[in-house]
Amino acid sequence: MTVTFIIPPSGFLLDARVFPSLGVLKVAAVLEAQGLAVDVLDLSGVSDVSGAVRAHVTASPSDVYGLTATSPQMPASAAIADQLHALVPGVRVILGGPHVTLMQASARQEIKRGEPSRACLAMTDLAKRFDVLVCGDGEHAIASALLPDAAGIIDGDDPKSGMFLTSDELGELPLAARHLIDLSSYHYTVDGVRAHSLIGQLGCPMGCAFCGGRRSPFLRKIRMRSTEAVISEMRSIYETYGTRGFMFLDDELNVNRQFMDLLAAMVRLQDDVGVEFRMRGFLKAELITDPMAQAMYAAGFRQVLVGFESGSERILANIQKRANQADNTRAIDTLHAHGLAVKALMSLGHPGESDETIEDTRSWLLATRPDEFDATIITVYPGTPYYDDAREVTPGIWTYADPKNGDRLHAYPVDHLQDESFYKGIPGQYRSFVFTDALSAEDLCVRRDALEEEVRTALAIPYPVASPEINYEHSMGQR
Amino acid sequence: MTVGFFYMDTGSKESKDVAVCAAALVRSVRRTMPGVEVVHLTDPDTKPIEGIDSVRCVEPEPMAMMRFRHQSRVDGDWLFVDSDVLFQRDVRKVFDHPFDVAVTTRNWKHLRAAPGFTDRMPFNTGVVFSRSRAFWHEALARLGQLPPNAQAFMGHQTVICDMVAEGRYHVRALKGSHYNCPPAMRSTDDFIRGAETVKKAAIVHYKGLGRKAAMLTRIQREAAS
Repeated sequence: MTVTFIIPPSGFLLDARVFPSLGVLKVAAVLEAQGLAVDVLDLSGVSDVSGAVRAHVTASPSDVYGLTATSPQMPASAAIADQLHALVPGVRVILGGPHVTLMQASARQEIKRGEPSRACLAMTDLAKRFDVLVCGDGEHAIASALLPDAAGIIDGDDPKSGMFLTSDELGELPLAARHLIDLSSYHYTVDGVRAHSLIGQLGCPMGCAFCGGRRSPFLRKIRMRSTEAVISEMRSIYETYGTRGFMFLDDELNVNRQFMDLLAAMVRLQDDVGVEFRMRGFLKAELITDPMAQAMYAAGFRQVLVGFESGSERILANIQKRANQADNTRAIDTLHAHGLAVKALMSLGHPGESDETIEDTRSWLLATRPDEFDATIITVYPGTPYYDDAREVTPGIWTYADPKNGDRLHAYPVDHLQDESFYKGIPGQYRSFVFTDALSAEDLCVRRDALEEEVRTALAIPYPVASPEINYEHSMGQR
Repeated sequence: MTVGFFYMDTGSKESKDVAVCAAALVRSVRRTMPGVEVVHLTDPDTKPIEGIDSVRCVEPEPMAMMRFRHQSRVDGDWLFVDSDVLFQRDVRKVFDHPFDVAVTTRNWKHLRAAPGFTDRMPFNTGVVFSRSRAFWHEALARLGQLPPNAQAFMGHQTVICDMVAEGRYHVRALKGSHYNCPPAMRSTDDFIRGAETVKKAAIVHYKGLGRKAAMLTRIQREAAS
């Protein structure tokens, strides 16, 4: 049996070759370690997707294809699945990755409530296009997906399934099979140093209402690799690719109680190999401390990203951010005091958003002076409380109400198998799929553009110029 | 007893699906209660649903208003149902009891109660037994006083629940778990396969977006078998 994993294109990005999709490479590594023939068709940045798929099918003996997909990648992934079914008799097409995981998490909520609704319907649509749906952790679930009679949903997002990874397993599994893709074609730098991405831990325990996976154990429950395992992967990347830069995709680094140990081990690794590393990653504001910031600088961090989201106390409370404005201000001050540049990740369009709350955000940014920032309009993804707890109170409009104060967020429905325009935009070309009682979708776009213009001008922060960076500025906040 | 259901073709795909559901509803009446008259309540432009005995039309207006107007114009023992219900048992004996209207509770133990919702609307109007034109006359008048948005969404439910609470009509409350039971699914997989858990209820109500799809799956499965 030959299994081909497909990384679908991200046509919504101007440059898709910045970070490879690590999840699917980890699943590929597990099968490789078991002696199966595995290859990866990396369609990131490929313009003639259909031609590339046809060429691969013609040359490959694969009769099992595994696709991964984020929500905005779903239209492309569904089209690839259709093409594979048309070209390869008896082919099995497996879908894994964040989108199906989030949709299943949302569908589970509907089933639990006894009100099957849009997520159940979306899962039905996925089941029509793909032979097997793998949710959550794929490393063990892939074995079930390859069984002769595999069909339907394999739920690796269920901690009782036996497929849900423990922290120990996460540390012991083979490293992502980066050798199966052309890693040299991916380009990203941290502080001017060529960098690759890695993941030290899975899951964020916080309950932010806009954040996907708050009801998905896969994305909520922390699974921690040991310090040794993370250091070993950094060493492997450095020795294999000569890479001195590392972008940590952990969400977020400092929810790890062993983070200080990890930082110390990073210093020792650099002493050992005799070079200086540069690192970048995400932090949770209220968990930032002086010793942490100091140790991060010593380990090679020069810029960090923090999802402050808003300068408004009301919005921070509605988001259930757990950090208030004072926490956020203190976080920036602490990081600055230790020489760390801060990129503030801000978002507009939360329940209760109004001119007043946007003004609070503007004032806070001007007062705290982050070194870089972005301001997006939120997207309501399945698996977020904004999606799962919304009701269609007006035909075609789904409304979420804050459980404490009733502040509302309204969202237009999205067909994830068709639409990708819900994905974030380029400044001046934003399209909002949400609105509040105070601000229309169009108002939000206008206010967002104005906020960005004013803050960038006042703080002398230029707009990003390189197109690949613009992509990531507006996709993962990782510039 | 006459069974009346409201269905109006809006031209949308959803509307076509509901027509398929309504035809299945009619077949389920034939199967469980042979001889019972089935009436399609609609507007003048909608094609009659297959298998019905007769059609009654009113001029177009907001759907909830049309529905109440229909119900205010008929005499005798009527069972008004949504077009997305299926009969699994004979329910004619309900009319052996005295009442103006018999409403069905939302006391669905197999479903999680929506906080604030069940309290405000303890009855679901998808299945109502009626022998009172006056009740529907008043309901129509009260619905007409609501803003258009409220009329379109849940207004008809709140009006009925308010009238029941006021106690001026002789109302009998029937168990929703038997006479108006939304089917449940144990998992997403069950949902996709169309495997339901409701077996014994007399009337199954595929209310809501997802259940409509489940009803269509059931219809396809039953047609295939």
